Amino acid sequence: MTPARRALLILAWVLVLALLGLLVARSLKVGSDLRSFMPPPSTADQKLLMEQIGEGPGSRLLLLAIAGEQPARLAALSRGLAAALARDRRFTTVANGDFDLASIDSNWLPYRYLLSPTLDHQSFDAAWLRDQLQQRLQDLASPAAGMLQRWLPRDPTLETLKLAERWAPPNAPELRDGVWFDARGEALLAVQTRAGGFDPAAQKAAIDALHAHFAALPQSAGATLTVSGPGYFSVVANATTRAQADRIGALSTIGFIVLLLLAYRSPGALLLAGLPILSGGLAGLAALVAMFPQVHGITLAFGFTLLGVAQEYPIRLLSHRRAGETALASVRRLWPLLLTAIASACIAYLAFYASGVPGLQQLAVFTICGLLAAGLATRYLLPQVLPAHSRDAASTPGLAGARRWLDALPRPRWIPLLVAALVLVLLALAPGPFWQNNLAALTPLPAKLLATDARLRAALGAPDVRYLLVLRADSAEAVIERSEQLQPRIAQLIEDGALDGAELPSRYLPSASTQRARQAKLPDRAALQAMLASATAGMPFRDGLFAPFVADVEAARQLPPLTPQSFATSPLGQRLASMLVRRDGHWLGLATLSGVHDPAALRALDGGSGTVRLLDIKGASESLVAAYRSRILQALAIALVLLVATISLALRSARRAWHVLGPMTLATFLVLAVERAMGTPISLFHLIALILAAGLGLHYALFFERDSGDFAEQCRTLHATVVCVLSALLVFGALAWASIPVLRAIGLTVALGVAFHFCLSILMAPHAHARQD
Amino acid sequence: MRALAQPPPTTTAFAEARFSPLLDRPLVISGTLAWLGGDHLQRMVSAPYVETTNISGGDVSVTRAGRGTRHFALTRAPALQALLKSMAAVLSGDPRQLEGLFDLRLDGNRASWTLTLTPATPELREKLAHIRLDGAGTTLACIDIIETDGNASVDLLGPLAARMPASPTRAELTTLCRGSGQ
Repeated sequence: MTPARRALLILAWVLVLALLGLLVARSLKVGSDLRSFMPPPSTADQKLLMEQIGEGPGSRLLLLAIAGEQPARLAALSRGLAAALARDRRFTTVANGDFDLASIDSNWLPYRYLLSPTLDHQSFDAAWLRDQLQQRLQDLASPAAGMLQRWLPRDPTLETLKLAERWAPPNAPELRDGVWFDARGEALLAVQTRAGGFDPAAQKAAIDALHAHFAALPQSAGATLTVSGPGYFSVVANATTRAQADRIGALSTIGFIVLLLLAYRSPGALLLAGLPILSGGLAGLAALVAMFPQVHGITLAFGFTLLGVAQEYPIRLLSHRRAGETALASVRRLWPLLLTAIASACIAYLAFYASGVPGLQQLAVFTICGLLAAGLATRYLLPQVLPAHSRDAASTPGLAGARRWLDALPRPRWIPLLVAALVLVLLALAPGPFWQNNLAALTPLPAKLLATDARLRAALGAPDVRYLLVLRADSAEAVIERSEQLQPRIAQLIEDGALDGAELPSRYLPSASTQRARQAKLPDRAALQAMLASATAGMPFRDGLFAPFVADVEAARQLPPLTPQSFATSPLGQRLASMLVRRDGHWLGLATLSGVHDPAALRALDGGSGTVRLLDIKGASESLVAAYRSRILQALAIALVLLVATISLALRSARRAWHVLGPMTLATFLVLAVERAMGTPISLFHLIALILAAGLGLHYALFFERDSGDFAEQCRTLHATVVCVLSALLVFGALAWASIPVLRAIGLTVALGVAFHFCLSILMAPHAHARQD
Repeated sequence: MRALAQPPPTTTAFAEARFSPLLDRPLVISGTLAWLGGDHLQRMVSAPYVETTNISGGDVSVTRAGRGTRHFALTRAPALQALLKSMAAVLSGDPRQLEGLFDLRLDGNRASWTLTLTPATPELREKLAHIRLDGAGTTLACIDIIETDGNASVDLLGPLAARMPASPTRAELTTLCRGSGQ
């Protein structure tokens, strides 16, 4: 091939890649819903769990704390922030303990007689009114006068106040200067965002707005605003994952380049050797864009890391090229083995696809397409463009000595037995649980943030994240009725200490029949006026003072009962709307619970009717993880069978297949045993990393097993493998330093795996036969 | 004013007449006021019903026999807040506590004096017209608080509390307070 044709081919290749890159960049939509990296739900509880994690009231709750100033100033900041957030469309509810009756729209006020439970146990008569008015006179002579006076003519029985108390959080924090404070002296707020908790982009917009509102408040400079809650966590997780992936990616790339420059001493060859990986990456991206409407950010971060396996292909070509041999001849010589390696890696990655997790399926598509493209580019394009002359890697100083030393190492037959025994002992003695079932352990959150969240959650009396009481009925109204029936029984359970508090849908809206019953107790205008006249006899109230009260009662008599739908349009309706979910022709009412001490007592509420269920979010998520793991293990078993078949078929010998698969299997179990001995419970991500390491180990074993009888070729094999091992150690060793548990799990597992695979595949390879001359 | 200073706890009988735009005639109650130091004040009503108000740390709690306790923030009751501040300032003998909040004017002589507190901040002025303290020698006899919304209360303290009429007028009470020195 002439230099001109070579240059032309390189130009064409780069041009095609550039066009592909442009295409991908234009149509790639990166999503950030963390749920696509969680296992797929199968039971009803698991489905509900995934919905609740995403859109439920609990997931949209942000807990805020303002600290660092005098209490009076913190209280002013709390009020200022609450006022600003109440005007912001991104937030549906804001609570800071400061309930202002004046904030309720006047048109809604007559509904208080339908919403307040007063008339359930009280008849509306002159004796009751007189007692109420007597108390109001005492109120007027008390320090509370200024607060109540404005409401007296309209609401002398203080129903509005009773509703405000009823709707306040069950275990509200202490009030200081009129707003919530915790024991540390921080002002507390609870805010609900409109956006779902696991939509980090929308949550980020809301949290940025929160900080902007806070910064705009006068005298906020000296105070600090702490934010917590699921939405905030998803923003943090997103930012740290991206930052770490970027940093580690940059570090690995630099290390990789330095390593290749040292190994091959040819910047030109190095640049060209990058083209197959680049082709693989772009092909993988193009496949993702074609198959999925949205690509997850984590898929991209992990995908490019996993594609690191593909760097082996050009490395093998560069290392194995003999002096004076054309690149094409070298690649033809290597191709059967490379093809075996590529096919086996793709089979291993199929296990990712079989996991059924959308994010992992994307990862599988990306990696398999990427590996195939990189492999084919190495076979058919790279040899055409490599320089005509190259250095023989076998002549690298010290390499021959190292190879001789390795060949001289004793290879006792009992090594596999020793390793297997070691694995068994380590596994038997390993401390702690074997499997990591806790979904939270996989989400990358610093313990400090979780501690802050637990503290604020306890101080605000925010609901338990573990339990949810789910009521099921045919309509939203029927859910409210069921909730109303349960209310006294739950009140009894609270009294008995089975739980600390519950927030049922009927706390906000009574059923239509209850509303009608209350309505029926309201006197007509004439009767009420007569009642008032007798009740106020001898009292100093001015004549006609209670005309607004009479008008409201008359209005309440005519009102149609509130439905969940009509209530949703009121300022307080958002709260209820988030507790009612429509699914599969049914309606679900979600009651949040706090301080559950006796789950069995709550489970017993159903009484066999099948309409009440205690959703144990921790239990559901753990069963989700366990189900997911058994899927991966099944997929792994299938992958192993396929792998044995592929290798045996390719090598046409069971003994040779053992030399390849034996070290790979033992090294995999050794990694597992060492990590368990370190006390690490095995998570799904460890399993996936083990598959990846096994894929790399397969390459080493395949090449070491090949006995060409040519010492120089054996040196080249060692050269290529050492370069591959070092680059894998570089990439995954860097990941092992990540602070995100998922990245760390993968990095450490693969780095350990690469080291074990390398050692065992050398020690278990058949003795190399040096050329007899 | 330093002569008025008394170490906590200070307890005194009180009778209060409350005038409200909602009412034809004033409400009259009596009991004891106790200043327990700092911002801690207790107001115990004994007639015509029993009620205890505790003000401490910015929180007000009103407890009525058989009716439970109602809590609210002191900031919600600006008149009470002003009263507490002025009483604390007077009883601790440290009028500087009132600087910036009220303009002070002292009339009369040692035997019969009137201290008028006029709100100096816009927030206070919105709620409060003025507070007038009447006294004789080293005893505080009357606290008269006029709010901007038409509410007013007159507290007769110490021996004067016993002289509260059953249905007083403002003029009657002013006379009583001004004449306290004679």
